[in-house]
Amino acid sequence: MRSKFIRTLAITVALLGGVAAAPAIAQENSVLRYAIWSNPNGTFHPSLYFTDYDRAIIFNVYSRLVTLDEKQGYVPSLAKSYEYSADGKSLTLKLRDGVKWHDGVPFTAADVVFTYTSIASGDYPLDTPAFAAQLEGFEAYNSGAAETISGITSPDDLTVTFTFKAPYAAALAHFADRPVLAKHVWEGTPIAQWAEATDLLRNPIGTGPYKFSEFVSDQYVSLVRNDEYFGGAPKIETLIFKVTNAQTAQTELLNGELDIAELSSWNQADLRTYEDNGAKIIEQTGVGGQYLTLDNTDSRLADPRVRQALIHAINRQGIVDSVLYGHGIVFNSNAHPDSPYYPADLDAYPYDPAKAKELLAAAGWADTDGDGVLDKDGEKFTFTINFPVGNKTRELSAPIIQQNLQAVGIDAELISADFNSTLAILQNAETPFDGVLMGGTFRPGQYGSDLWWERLEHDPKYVELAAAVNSTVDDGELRVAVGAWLREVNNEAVRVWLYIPNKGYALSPRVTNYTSIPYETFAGIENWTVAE
Amino acid sequence: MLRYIFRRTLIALPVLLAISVVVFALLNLQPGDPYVSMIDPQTSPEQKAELLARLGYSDPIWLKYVKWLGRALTGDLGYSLQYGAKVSDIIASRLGNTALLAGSALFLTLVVAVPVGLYTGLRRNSRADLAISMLSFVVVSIPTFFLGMVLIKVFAADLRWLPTSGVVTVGAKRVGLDHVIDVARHLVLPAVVLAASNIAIMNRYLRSSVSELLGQDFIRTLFAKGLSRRQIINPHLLRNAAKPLVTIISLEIPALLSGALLTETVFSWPGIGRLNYEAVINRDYALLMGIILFLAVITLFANLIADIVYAIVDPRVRVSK
Repeated sequence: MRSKFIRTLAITVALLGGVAAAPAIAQENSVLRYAIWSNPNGTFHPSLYFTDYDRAIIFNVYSRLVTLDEKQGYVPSLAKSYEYSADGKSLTLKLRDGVKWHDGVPFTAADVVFTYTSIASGDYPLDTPAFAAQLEGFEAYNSGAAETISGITSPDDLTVTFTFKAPYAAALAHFADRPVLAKHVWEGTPIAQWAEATDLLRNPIGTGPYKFSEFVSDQYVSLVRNDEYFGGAPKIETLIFKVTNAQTAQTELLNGELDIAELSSWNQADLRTYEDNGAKIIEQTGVGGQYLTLDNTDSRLADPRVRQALIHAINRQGIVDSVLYGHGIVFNSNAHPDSPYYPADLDAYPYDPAKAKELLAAAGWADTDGDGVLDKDGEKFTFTINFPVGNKTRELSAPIIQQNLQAVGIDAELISADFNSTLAILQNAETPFDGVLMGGTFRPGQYGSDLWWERLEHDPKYVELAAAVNSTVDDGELRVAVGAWLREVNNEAVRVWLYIPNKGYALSPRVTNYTSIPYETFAGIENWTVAE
Repeated sequence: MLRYIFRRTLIALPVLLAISVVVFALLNLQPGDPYVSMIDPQTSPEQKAELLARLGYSDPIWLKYVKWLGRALTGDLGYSLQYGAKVSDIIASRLGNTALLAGSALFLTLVVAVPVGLYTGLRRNSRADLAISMLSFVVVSIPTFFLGMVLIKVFAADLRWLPTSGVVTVGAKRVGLDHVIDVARHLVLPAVVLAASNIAIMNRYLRSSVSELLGQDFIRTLFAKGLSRRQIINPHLLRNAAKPLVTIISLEIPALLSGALLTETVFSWPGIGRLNYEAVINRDYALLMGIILFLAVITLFANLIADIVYAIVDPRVRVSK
């Protein structure tokens, strides 16, 4: 018995050992493995995608009319040049000649017309993008009264003109966000059925630096180099987006199973482990802001002094220093401080509990019964902070914010739930709330005029300011209009702007010539190389 | 026997229906909606309501259930918004990976637990038995994900022997034996993690079953008749000790399939468990319903098989029913 047991054990150990001792992963030339944290949906379609993971694939397979540079300026891509008419209502783009789709068909103006007409269709399966609704002739086309949309015309194969109902400066921002679709691939499928056209969605044909190769759901997406890319053939032959999780990414990167992974925290020990093993850390300004959204219609929060007090009460720089280890910035209005139109003279709302108490007192809140909690007309100042779980930094910031508010006499409590449940609070206009910790990605050139979450969307003051932002294409006027909007929002403290975490990437030592800028993660991907 | 099987199957059907009602209600009565992550968060409530109405979201819950049941009975489990594919296709595509992982874990469990269980059962209270018992308790007490992280730390991060995620080395395009070895290397850590607590549990069952048998009259009689240890253990003791194993294994199969959730998530193993996790995170109701029902069917089926096999092995079971 004993010998048999030992024999079985020995065989098992030998089997496992043999498997374990197989040589470490051979480093194939010219394969780059890029970590993504969640499975793409496989909606590889420029105007239907809704996750960042699908976006990563789409932005490498398709090309856009314009892309962004480091200063958020527009760089010609499929469009050689663009020009607004004198009245700012028409935008004419000259297209690059000689570009071919991945299946060899030439790219023409008809593709551009097709792409941006389709989103204006009444059959378009998602809600109408703001861009489409601004086009001249949108209503007639959307309702089916007109066969074509009068706001998009193409005099020849390499020219497209967009005409808007009013000057529309955000058009280029839309082009930088939504690549061009191949007409010959999609025209055979009715627009209403696009979202279900799995075969087409999963086999995208674009004009980008990489051709789509394979999607193994929950495992990886593999792309291969487009030798005929108009921006020059990429150096790396195969680009693989590997679905993995943030907890094991470091080990994988150091073991050579991954080449690029976004950092999930700025923990010093993690960074040191990377650097001690030869990996490079790239740091960039972040593109997503975190904030505490306030219900501006709440009887207490309707007073701007109370909202201002909340911002002064929270040690926002302290959160950046402790939770982000200093790798982030504080912001003070509904735009990224790096935005070219972000006013320099905004109220910075420095951490100042005394000032917060002063403002609250001015608004009539005082601790009359000496229990440490402010009250007014017999009502205690309670404040519920709702937040979704899943974002580590946000979870860590919640108790700090709670303590900060308690320190000025506000009885703050925390309630966490899953993301969808928390978002449901904000999306249902009937649900009252105090504050919800949320975040969002800034889109360059698109100045958020939406104040749905703050329940201020119908406030004429903001509606007017937002309309002004979208009524000029003159840079000087735009600066004035955007500045006025951002100043007013800042002044009224419609929400508590918290912090913008920096973006970090870990690069395996194999990766060289890596370039990437905020908002354009894959800028210059054709020049990236991996060592032999 | 056939009557017995038929009756057991008939009982399973209302159970399945009840499970579907409860799960459907639980999913659909949650706050929030499944479309939240596919619609721009800043979309106006009016636009959103219109979109949801178009998708049939505003139907009353009973109508939604009736619609769902009608389709499910024809084999249509619905369409996953998140994956953009039919639920049945998605589950089918992950089944192979989960079966591979669960099968390997079960194999590993048997290979380790059976000899160890016999050994400790035969040598109860020996020093080796005590050591193995202690180890078993430790292993059972460690949460799966923690054990996974520890193994990753040791075998992947420190020793760099094994990969930590996925099924294959992506981009390597290995074929033939190379491919098999590649998959096997990816399989080692998750299979060990998944098997670990099962080994400990099964080992305990076998140990007590063996030591109990040792005290029984018929074994003592065999010893008294002068049979050697080997002659007794092989035919007599093993066959009797195997009986509870049948139950444990058949109960273990659904647990292996569904319990792989944490293991598959830690190791990014693209199976049913990870799919389940993703479906929860994304509120993919159709997919969640499909997965839960699939697991319910497997569980009921495994129980049925266990009862049948047990009835074959031990006819007393049938008589008593």
